[in-house]
Parts: sequence; structure tokens; C-alpha cells
Amino acid sequence: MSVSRDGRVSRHDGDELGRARVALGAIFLLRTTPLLAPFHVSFLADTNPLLGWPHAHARLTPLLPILPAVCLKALCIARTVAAVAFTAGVLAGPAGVVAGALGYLTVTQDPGRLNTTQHVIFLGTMLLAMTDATSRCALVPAPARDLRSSRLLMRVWIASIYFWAGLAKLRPDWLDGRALALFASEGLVRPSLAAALLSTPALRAIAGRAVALGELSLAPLILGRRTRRLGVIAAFGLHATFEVAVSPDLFGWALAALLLGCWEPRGPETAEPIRR
Amino acid sequence: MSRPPSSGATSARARQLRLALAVVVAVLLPLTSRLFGNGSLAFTMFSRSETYRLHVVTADAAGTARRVAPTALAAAVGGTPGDILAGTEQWRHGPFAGLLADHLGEVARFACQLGPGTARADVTLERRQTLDAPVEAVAASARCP
Repeated sequence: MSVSRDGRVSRHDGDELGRARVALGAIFLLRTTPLLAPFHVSFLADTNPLLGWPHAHARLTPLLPILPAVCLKALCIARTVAAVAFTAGVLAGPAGVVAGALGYLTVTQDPGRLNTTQHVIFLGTMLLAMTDATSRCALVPAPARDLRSSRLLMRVWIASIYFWAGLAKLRPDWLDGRALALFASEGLVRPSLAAALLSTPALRAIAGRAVALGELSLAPLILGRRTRRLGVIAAFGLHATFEVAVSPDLFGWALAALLLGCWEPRGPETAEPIRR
Repeated sequence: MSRPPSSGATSARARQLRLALAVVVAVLLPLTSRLFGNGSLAFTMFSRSETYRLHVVTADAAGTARRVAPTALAAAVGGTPGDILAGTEQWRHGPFAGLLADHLGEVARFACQLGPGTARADVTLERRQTLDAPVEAVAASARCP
């Protein structure tokens, strides 16, 4: 519950952060457990029995100390329990921090396994756990502390993801379409789309520039109060396009879950919790 | 369902913590990864065009050298290193060149497993960070037990 500057109370203010927590927690569990195993998704093959579970194969030496197999198994189980608690909203703050930290610890035991999707899921979980997302849409809500800074933290981080993604594409081989040609030649782009949109150098250059420009534009759109909803809709559209074109792990789904937290109620920026 | 907010002092602490966190995760972490690391924490969002290839040569005790296909090494090693090494006889697109460069000595030790008579293994990694970047080479060797 929160109160606006003109004194109006909104019972649902901040619920968008709670929805983002539930959605990202669900994505966390789908990416780290074999819940989707019946669908035989190739990029989820490493989730059986749990992501990061010890195996007998060779691995490169991790940056952090090597954990004994029994300890690693216990941490994978603890990570899953914490992710369930985070999603359900039971001690969601500590549970989310533990789940995200154990996500990094368990996956980095096998160097080369941590990818951008997992990074976004683990870091997003830890950040949401440190916001008022834990006091909304929860079985056992935590006390609300400061909704405005909660929103600001998530908004700035999500906008920064698009900024850095766009910045990384401001280089000649992306902007002239050669990087996209490389992706298409490796079968990373759905063949029907590659044939339609990437068939000539000119089309590849247009596509490359459009993606870079689109991602760079999303950052200010999401940060601006008046443009935020447009930014969220545009971001959903971008991820839907990527999903159809390249199916990049669960990356788009994780960002979509986070973007739910930017879908704030219309009206004046309230976000001030009641002080007692 | 929500619970009443906490006190003003707690809120102020939370506000300061979150502002600091925003700077760390939105600016410092990606910037550091981009400038000093391999960019894996910089949200490049599947834009990388980095390519790499590997040369593996083993030698027996008499010094007779033998060139080994990295895919054969990948099959012998398996696991994540095997996934990273497979197909690197030719330029391969992927974000693993930095990781391989950091662990090239270990890759050389993996190559020691290719035959009981292997006395020495030499590996050379060539990488291009973009399609326009110059080729950088890194080498490592291992004496086999």
C-alpha cells in the first residue's frame, strides 16, 4: 500500500515489482531444473538433474575454489529451494540473494557454462530480492521499505542492459551486416527469416543497424516516465522478434519477466510508502 | 497482499543501498567486464563476432611431432572443454577464446592424454575479437607425465 503526493492511497502500487519477482523466479526454476525436460529443448540439456550438478567429465579450473561433489550437489539443491521460496514470496529477500549467489557459484564451477541468460536471471533475482518486490504478490510479504528506489534500481539496470547491448553493436562488422551473415551461415537464424531479411548485404546492413538503434533507443524510453510504457511494449516486441528469429536460450523470457516490473500504474509518480 | 512499510531510517538506508547498487550493476560491472575482462558480464546480447581456432601438436620421447585435430582432443576430453574445443581446426564463432587463452596450459595438459607415448604437447590459440580485428596468437606447452 502506498500514498501519492496528493494523499491518495493505492493498494496495488508496487504490485508490478511483485509480478516481476514471481515471473523471474519461475524463469529461474525453468532454467535451472528439468521442468521442461519433456520438451527436449537443446539449451536446457544441462539442467538434468539440476544446472551445475557435478559430472565425471573434464573441466577447466574455476576461478573460485573447487567444491567437493557432495557439497556442489547440496548447493544445487539449496539454490532450488531458495528459488522456490523467492518465487512464492516466503523470506523472498534472503532467498533471492541466496538463490542468485548460489546460481553463480554452482555454474562457475564448470568454466564456460555461465552464459548471458543465466547472468541476467541470477543478477535479476538478487536485485529484485533487495527491492520492495518482496513485499508484493507474496505468500509471506516482507515489510515495504522504499518503493521509489526499488523501482529506480530495477528500471536503471534494465535500461542499462539495452544500452550496453546497443553499444556493443556499434562496430563496423555489426552495422554493415557481416556479423548477421556469420550468424545466418551457422544456422543461428531461422532459415525462413534469414532468407527474407538477410539475403542481401543491403538487407543485412539495414537489419544490423535497426537492431543496434532499437536497443539503444530502449534505454531512454524505459527511463523516461512518459515513455516507459512505450519502451516496455517496444522491448517486448524486440524480444518476440529475437525469439522467432534465433530463440536465444530463455534470455527474452527473462527480460520479459523483468520488464513486467516497469509496467507501473498510470497517473502521477506516487511511490512514497506510508511512514509510520 | 502487502505489509506495512518499515521506519523512515530503514527506508533511507534501503534507498542509499539501492542507489549504490544501481551504479554498480548498471555501470561499474558491465564497464569493468568490457574494459578488463572478456565482456561476458557486459550484456553484449548475442552480438559478438569473435572467432578462434586451435593448433595442437604432440611429440613423443624421441621428439617426433604429430599434429592433432582439436576435434579429436575434444572427443577425448568431453564435457564443457570438449564443447569449446570441438571444430576449432577451422575458425569457429563463439565467446570462448578469452576463456581458452586463460586456460591454454590446461588444454595442453589435456592433449597429453591423447596417447601413452606423448611426452610433450604444444597448443596455439588464434583469435579475432571481431571480423575486422587482427589475429592474436597465444601459445602454451605441457610436459606430459
